Amino acid sequence: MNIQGANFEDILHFYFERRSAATATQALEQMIANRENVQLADLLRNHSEWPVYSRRERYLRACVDDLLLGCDILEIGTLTGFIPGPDGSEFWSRIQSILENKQVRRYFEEFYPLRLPQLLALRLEGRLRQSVAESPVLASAVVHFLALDRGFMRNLNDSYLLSMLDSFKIRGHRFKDVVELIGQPKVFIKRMFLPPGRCTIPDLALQELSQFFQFSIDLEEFLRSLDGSPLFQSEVWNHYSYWFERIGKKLNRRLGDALDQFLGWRPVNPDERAAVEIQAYVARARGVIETLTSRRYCEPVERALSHSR
Amino acid sequence: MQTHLVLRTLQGDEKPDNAVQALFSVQPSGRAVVFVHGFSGDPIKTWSDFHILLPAAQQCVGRDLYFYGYDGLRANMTSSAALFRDFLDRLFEQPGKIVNRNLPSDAQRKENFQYMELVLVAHSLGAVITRRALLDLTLLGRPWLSKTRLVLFAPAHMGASVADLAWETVSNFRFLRFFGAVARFESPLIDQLKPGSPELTALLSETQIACQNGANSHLKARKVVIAEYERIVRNDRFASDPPPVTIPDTEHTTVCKPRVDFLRPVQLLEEIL
Repeated sequence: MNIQGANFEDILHFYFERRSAATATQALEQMIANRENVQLADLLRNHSEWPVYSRRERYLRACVDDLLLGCDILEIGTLTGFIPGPDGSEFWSRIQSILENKQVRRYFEEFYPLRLPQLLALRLEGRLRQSVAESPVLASAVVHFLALDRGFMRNLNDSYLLSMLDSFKIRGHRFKDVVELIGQPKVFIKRMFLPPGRCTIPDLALQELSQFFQFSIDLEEFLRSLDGSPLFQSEVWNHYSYWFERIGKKLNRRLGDALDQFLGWRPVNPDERAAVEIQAYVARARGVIETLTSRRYCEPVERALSHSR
Repeated sequence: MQTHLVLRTLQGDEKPDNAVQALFSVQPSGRAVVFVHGFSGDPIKTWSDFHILLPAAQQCVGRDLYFYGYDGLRANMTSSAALFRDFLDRLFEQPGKIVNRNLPSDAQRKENFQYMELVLVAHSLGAVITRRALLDLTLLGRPWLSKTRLVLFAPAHMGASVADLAWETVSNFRFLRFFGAVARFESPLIDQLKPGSPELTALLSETQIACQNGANSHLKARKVVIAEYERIVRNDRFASDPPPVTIPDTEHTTVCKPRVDFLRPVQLLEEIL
């Protein structure tokens, strides 16, 4: 079996054949081929200078974000030798032509800096050749990471919770509504047990909150297991840097508010174990979020970028 | 060295395939392990970190690992068993079809690919579902049943008080169990898993009859693993199962969750592989 080839096909299937990434690839290729530079610059503008209200534009930009997430995975896969590196084949040429486009570059270099697509672009230009030394546990670590990431992509990437943490209001609901719910244990439990068809947006966000804390705990544990591979470790963290770096402060504060609510919970039948368990959970979750939103894992990728430019 | 491909959900829009996660071996030996979660559990979370630790185990290199999923909170036990029976049937009767439609082209297997051994590892309610499925398949006379082996973690086949576990389905907040989560929850499984329920009584008596004179050894568990601090299931011996092995300092939900610093569940399973 050609294992690298199989891994590559798996990654393409999961990250690039999704409707969103495929839509972005097609739309960007078409605009680049037609030299629609002004339209492309409009689409990929900095939203803080010129807000994005059009539903179509929002959708296409979300598709581009998904495409760039896929580029993260290609970079991590190439760095670790999990997939064959860029070989000039049709797929890689298509990715290269997108990543080297001036307007696309401004989007992921200037407006919304994403380091892994930048590294991949350098790799495609032949200016980055770094790889992680092969070791018996490397491939299983990548398999582990991809399992973690698939869970994130499936349950959290497009979730109400992350949108709310990113300051979006969803059909009138904000993250503070979720925090308020956590402050009422009886209501919280009732809502957690609603059958799927009867859940409102805050109910779903509550369930996603539990998933996000668990994901963060698993991610932090995984990152610690990569202490011997700082660049790989840093690339994995950078894959989630939108959440833990770009909006990290906001995320830290808001999740902290949510965790604080749990500390006020008192069981109907006094049980010392409840308070101990809640305090331990809150302390652990808070510590994990603080670690992830710090820049502890940032530097190796930054260094690789500055050395290759 | 990479032993398994990336974890994937089986393709298909229908149950149970869309709830089954699989790690396919890159050097398939025609052997597989199927994990069946318990009451309220999740196919991966229940068994975490088996999916990370097992691929590296020597005895698992060639084995495909399936993490079977079903609605372990609200679905009827007999219905869940029937769905699992159908899945096992397809895994033995048309393995090439199931496997190849889920593999990249570089990893396709021969059309005549077959499983020569399937180890079924079940937790809690999963033990009842698995036993019911195997028993029904025995009545249907499936010839491949002798290729299966059964390993059970904290089995609920002698009864359980499962409502206390309801919190596990809806969140990762373990402390919810102190806050009356039980009162909010309804499920047919609460009655079906009560000690002495018609379903459990029938399961035991039918198994005893099927195993008379040493017949149908696949219905007898090869290993039963229980938690030291078990509060959910009754640990009474079922039919002619072997005496259980206890893992110290574990509870119902932790007995099947190995970690890098807690490998006992993996070691106990490896003894059977």
